[in-house]
Amino acid sequence: MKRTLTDAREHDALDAALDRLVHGLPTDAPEGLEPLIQTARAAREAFSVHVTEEVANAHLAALGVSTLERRRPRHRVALVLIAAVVTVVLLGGAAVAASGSALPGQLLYPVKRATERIELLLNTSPASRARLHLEFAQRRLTELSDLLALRRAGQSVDIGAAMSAYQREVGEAQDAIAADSTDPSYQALLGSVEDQLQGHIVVLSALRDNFAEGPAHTAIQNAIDRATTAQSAVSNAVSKARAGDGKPPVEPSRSPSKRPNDLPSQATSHKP
Amino acid sequence: MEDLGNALARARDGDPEGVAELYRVYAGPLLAFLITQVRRREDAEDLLGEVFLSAMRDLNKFEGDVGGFRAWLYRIATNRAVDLARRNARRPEEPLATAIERPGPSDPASEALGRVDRERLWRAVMALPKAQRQVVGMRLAGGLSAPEIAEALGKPVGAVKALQHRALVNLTKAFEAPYPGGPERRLKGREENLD
Repeated sequence: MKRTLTDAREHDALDAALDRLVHGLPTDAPEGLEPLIQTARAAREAFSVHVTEEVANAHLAALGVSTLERRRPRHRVALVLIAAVVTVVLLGGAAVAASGSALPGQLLYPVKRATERIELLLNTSPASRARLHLEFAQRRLTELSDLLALRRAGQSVDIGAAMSAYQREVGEAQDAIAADSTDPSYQALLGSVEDQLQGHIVVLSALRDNFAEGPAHTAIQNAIDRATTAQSAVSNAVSKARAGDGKPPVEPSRSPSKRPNDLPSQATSHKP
Repeated sequence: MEDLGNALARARDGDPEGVAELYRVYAGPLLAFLITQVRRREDAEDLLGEVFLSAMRDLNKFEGDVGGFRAWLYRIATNRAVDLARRNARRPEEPLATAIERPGPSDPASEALGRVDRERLWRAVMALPKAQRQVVGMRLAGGLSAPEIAEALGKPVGAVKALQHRALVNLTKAFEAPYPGGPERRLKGREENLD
């Protein structure tokens, strides 16, 4: 019991010192806790990162559209036009145009990803979002191909980023399809997705075979595994649909987990 | 704080300038937190946009104050980071040399803190158990208080304080700084209790 109380006091003392540290005040570290405060100070310094202007502008463009949509949900057509204007103004028309061919690690790549997020924002039906995610997955494959060309030319490239993004898009597509099996074009969508994923697997396999065992080989293999898993889920749904078993949903890429949900709780009152 | 309260109120009313003000204040620390959770800066930047979009969509359901809003943002961020980790679960860990955040040459933090120390610190943070990483990321990258972290993670405040203590002991050990009293003794057998 004594030990527990001592621990609790030490935790409180450390917490008070950290409060001062994060507010930029001088910290008198309690005896014995100096090394921890030094580490905390170094970590605070190391964590000082900044959002680049391109990323901030892209996010603000998306947020601007989202805010307008919240205010005027019925005016979607007008919003699409506004979104186009906001995107061009905030991100820069030339930047948006030039970002189309940007690759991971390049200056305009965040602009490219941000314009994709805006497209997603403006397409709320699961079917259209699934189509978009697959389109973006296809872009990640194109980027991979371009990155490999740069690599062959002797440049240092990060293949992992493109593959990570690819897996994410495929997962999002799978989840979007799973979200709504009542869409009138559901069966046609399933067939299209199945074909596209098969095409991805063929392309990825060909690219993978250019590499000996190593990080790049592994990154591509993992992308193949992800596409195969998604394709398998879609194929099962297609088979069931053909057997006249209604319109069963595709299995989502993940199962729900126990955690605090995203919705705001009402009893929230803290000093910032 | 009053300004932020006004910004929150304006954002709630659908004013894009209010939204932009909230973004300008919270985006940097939130990005740093997300990097501690997902490693890749590109992934963290994508999640940052998603977190704000999600928050703005549900803002009319939010009735708390500025502090509560920040805790809510971090709760959404934590959930999104966990989702991403689950998606990437089949992907083996990447070599940290290519995965950790590396600041640009103009980043003052990289000048003040030696590059080697900085990389060692990031490696140590990435090696922390998830719950410790979440707490230390919110506390030191986000600047949240222990009660705000408790709110964001749905944990008791005491558990948050214990986790941040343990995380700093572990980071200090990784930094090979002396810690009188033997941190190993404290850590042994207690690592999973609160994680």
